[in-house]
Amino acid sequence: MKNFFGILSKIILVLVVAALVWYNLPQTQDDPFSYLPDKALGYGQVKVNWSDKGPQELFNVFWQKMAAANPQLNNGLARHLALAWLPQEITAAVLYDRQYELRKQSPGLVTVIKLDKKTRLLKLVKPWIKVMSGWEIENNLVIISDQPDNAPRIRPEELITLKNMLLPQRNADLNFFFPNRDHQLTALVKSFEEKNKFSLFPSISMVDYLEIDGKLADANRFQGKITFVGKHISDVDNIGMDTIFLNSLLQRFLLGNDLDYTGEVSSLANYVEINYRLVNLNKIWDRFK
Amino acid sequence: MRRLLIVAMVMVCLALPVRGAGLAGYLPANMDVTYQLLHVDSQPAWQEILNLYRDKLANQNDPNMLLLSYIFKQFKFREIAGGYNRAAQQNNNVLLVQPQLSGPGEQFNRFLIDNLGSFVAIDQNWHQTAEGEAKIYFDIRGEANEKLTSFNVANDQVILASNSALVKKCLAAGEKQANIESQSWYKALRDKALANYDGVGGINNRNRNFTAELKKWEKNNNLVVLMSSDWIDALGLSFRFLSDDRIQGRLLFQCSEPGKVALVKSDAEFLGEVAKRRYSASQLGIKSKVTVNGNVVILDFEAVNWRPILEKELK
Repeated sequence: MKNFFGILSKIILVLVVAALVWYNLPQTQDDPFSYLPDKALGYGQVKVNWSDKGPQELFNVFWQKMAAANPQLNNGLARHLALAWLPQEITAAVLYDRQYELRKQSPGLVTVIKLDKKTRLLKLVKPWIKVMSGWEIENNLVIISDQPDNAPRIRPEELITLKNMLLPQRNADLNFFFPNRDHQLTALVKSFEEKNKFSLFPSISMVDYLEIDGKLADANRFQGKITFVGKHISDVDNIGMDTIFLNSLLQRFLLGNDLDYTGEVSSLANYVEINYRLVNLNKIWDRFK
Repeated sequence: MRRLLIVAMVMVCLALPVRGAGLAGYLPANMDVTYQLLHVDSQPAWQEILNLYRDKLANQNDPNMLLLSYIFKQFKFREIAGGYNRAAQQNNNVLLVQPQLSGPGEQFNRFLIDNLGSFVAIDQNWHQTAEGEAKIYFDIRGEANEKLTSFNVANDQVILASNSALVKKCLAAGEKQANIESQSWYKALRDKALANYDGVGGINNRNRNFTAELKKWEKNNNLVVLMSSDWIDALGLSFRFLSDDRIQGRLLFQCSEPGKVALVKSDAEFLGEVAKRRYSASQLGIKSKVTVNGNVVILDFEAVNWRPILEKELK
């Protein structure tokens, strides 16, 4: 009997060591951007360093809420595990096409989550998770997509532009880039205008691309820029008037949702930007029970 | 002798000149919302609007609205005015019309009395009371709601009100006892209204009733329309028809604090821009300009080709 437990403990030890070695083997790194579709309405990236002040405070707010509802989570190990599993990088693309609307379908969405080594563990459990259809694991990435497998991927020249737009020199937690080269943004705005019989942003066809970025300064404050880049310098006056109205509408809409928003509109050369600030995010977090 | 005295009094009353103050003089001082339509008989645009409104009332399948619709169909008016006050315990709602008649109001009076049975069920609930020379007819069932279920026909105007007490108040107001024209908020708005207006309206917001109503709407729609509504004492609208398809208007915002004028101005600019963008897809063209005069923010606008829009809105 004693021998049996001795052998068993050795087998377990070997298995644990093997699992640790397997888990720590270098993993092939894939580029999340290369999985994004071509001609999307917009591309976005959330790249969060959870040890930064803002994200950390935000995580604490939610963890406290969850721990209040589930006392078993109220220990350091659970918190550590949850933090370790939070993705540091999510890249996504939203597809929009008038055809989606005509077919009364929702716009397509492709999300790529970078989890590094943890994808190995996900691979093990995936066969038992039937509910999550449409997701794949490729090396260090989890790809969730409602697009067909043969849907065209982003063109190399767009990929370079996209990376320049989204990549982290901007020091933001969140970046969105809406290229308007294939007029998807124009189509979306025009569709909204037709549906609502309201001229929201008539100069949208003059916009070459739209960028939105933002950073969580602390759990209560989010700030960043919304930039409309015109195709020509001569478009800036029209884009500017629409941006001023949009800023005012945004402020009133967010105020209607209990959020204090301030935005300052300025323009230079061919772009118009709103420097915005949202200051009482706790009102949103409070809604989560 | 007594009969002779009564006949003499009636003759003196009939010989009195038509009241010159206009129907607004009959609106009680506590009305929160007032409106007045002028030159109704001489301005073709008014006829068109009233016809559309009449058709809308007729389609509502409500005896009360049908009565109003019939009145609008049978008579042309010189002037129309009205108001309401929701702060009172009862919903006080009043509509005054001044029919275009060749003689004093007998014809109209007779019409109402003769035709009342066709529109409202006359039964034990209907009362008729005497208030001096004026008779007030009222439906006891309608005294607590805002439907126009009490009326009086005297001289050359008809008073329709939501309850008999309000008819009495209107008659007293007409005798210059505490009418709306004595109110400072009303005078201030009238002073800054467009010259030669065809229509004018005002909202007293010193009690912040309008703010409270607006905030309810804003909460339901998740959109703040007036960020400055806590600092607006009164709102006014005046307009005139420039030609068949052009209208000129002025919206006034009376601010309660000098420090909040800039916020009120930004709200006025936003409203001007919303109106422009709301109708830019249609053929309605709107130009607007915002100026400030002391504590009053003025939104002047001009609209071209407004008729199709109005037809659509009233249908």
